[in-house]
Amino acid sequence: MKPFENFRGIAMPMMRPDIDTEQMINRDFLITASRKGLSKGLFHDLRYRNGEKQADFVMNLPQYRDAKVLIGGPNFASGSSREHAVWAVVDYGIGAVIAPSYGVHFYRNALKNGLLPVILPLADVAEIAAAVEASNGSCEVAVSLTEQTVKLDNGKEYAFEIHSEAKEALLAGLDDIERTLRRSTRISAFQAKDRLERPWVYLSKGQAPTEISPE
Amino acid sequence: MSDTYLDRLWDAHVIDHLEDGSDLIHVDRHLLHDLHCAIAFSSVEESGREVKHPEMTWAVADHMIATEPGRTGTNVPGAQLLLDRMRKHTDDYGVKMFGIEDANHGIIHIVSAEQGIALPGLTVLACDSHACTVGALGTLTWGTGTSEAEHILATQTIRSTKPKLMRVEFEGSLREGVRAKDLILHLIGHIGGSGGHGYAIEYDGTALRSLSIEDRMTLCNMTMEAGAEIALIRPDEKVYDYLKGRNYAPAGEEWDLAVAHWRALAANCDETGDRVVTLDVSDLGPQITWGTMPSQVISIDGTIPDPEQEPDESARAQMQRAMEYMGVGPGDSIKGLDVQQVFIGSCTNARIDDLRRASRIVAGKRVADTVRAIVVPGSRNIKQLAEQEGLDRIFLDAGMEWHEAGCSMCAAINGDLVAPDTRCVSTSNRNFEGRQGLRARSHLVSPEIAAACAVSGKISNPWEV
Repeated sequence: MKPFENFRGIAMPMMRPDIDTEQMINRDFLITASRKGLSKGLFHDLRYRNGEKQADFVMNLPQYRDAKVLIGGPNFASGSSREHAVWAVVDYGIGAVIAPSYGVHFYRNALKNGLLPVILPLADVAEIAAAVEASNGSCEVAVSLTEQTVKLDNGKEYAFEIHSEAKEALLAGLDDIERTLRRSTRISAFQAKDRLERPWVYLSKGQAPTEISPE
Repeated sequence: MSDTYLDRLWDAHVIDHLEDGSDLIHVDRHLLHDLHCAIAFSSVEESGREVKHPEMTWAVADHMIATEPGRTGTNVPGAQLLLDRMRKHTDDYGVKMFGIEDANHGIIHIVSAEQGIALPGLTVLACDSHACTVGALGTLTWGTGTSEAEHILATQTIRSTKPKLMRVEFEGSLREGVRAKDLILHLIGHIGGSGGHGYAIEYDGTALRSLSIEDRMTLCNMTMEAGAEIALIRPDEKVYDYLKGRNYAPAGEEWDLAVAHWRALAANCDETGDRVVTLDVSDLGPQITWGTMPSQVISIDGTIPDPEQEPDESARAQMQRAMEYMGVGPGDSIKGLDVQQVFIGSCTNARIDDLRRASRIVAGKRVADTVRAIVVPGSRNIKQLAEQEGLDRIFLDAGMEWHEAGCSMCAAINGDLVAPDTRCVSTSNRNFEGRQGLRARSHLVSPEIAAACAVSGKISNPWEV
């Protein structure tokens, strides 16, 4: 994972509550063997209708074309656990999302892909969105993970909380798997002890079940 | 220290406490489906790591596969390649794959219960948000993304933080025709689609205990739509009766040991929670969603709510948008709306008892000329059993389609789609905009109501006096 770097950029407001991951990336883009190239599917059915570009959808407004921050409403990216939603956002060039709350899977998936999911109170998020809209997108947003702040060009500043481990992992671009594998001895010891207490949990390699039909 | 069933399950799986208060949790059972397999396995392969415990991982082809009779694979362009890779990866690593040719093939969360892969007291992680389904067996289970699946493949563990606990007590005796689907839709309407955020939900109460294991799975399945990713029910004798003799369940002496362990695990737990919701469901009627979120739900005999009565501006706008999308208006009766499509299936409602109940409604009748109705069993075993009981004949004689097992029109990824701008009454779990097809209008209901709507061609209540 690439280490997260603080950045400043255009923010795109999308404050409607409960936008789900299926609106973010529809069925047509799930059939893939790669995490890359999914930005073309991001919010596809909101960007296009019957093949026609929807001029009033925020992503189609020229001022937001190079957005680096996505401002979302409550329960943003809820629903399906498809990690494709995060991959599409990242592939589009977004480095951080700011929202009052997230679908559980999107939040976790974001952290695994170097995307910073900032949580701020709804009133703050609404204020940021309003400032951005009032400036027609020219009020840019600076996101600092090291300082845990979001700063607007208009001078407003917002502090956010994030788990220390998540922060450290994002900043260092740490690979979870590598870190967990360093605890292999602990994992093996757990399994050895657990196997004595719950032998039925530990199946044998290559164990073929007998073919019984249920019911 | 609290000692709830959740505490017991969680604590028994903690390998290590991590720096920030999260835990490294042992994964006892891991399941993957076809949308994630290719990427998860190739990432492991490219990193040069091994699959730590292939014997504790299963892969199911369910989302992309065709379901029409006589299917040979998938109808989706590009998907066959992913299914072929899934086969190759699982063969290479020694992981059991349930492909469409397998005698025990089906939808991931139905297979894991039916095969005894999910057992009480075990952690079962599946790369799908409806993993919570098998919480009905007393399993600690939730859904992962692809990267977390890769982590599990390589380590047999997951990093996670113990959620708070919400206890939901369903009390009372249920009216005729009111079952698990109605209970969960009612709960979602009550606490909202994000009401469960940050919680695991444990279910209990007299009405809950009266439910069959299949019904409990329906209930746990849609816990996700209440915003919680973990559903739990302390196991009772019904669970052990259900699991005994299943393919991957322990057998012989080991079975007796396991049951003794599970009984102890479920006995004398603290019955407390960080939030407690008690619902008397004696008067509850059959439920149906009217909007584009599962929380937008009313009684089948009810009317569409009026946004003007909603004080919150943002919620009001949501309701108005949903009404426009669904083609309904405030004060309209939900009954009588024309229906063009009926779907009976999905990990929510495609088990044998769901099919039996739907078949009783359509027996000897014909589906309305204006309706396309499809029935998609949750597994090959369920399909076979239904055919032994003659249910397929009942559906076919009524003019319904009888399909092979798969996710089909619920995830609507395999080509089984609701036509644009048409109304679908569905036993599945999500009615989001576009979920079942571009501009598809979905109403979530129980199998009986779906069947009744197919016959009348309109939204209708089969128990109406």
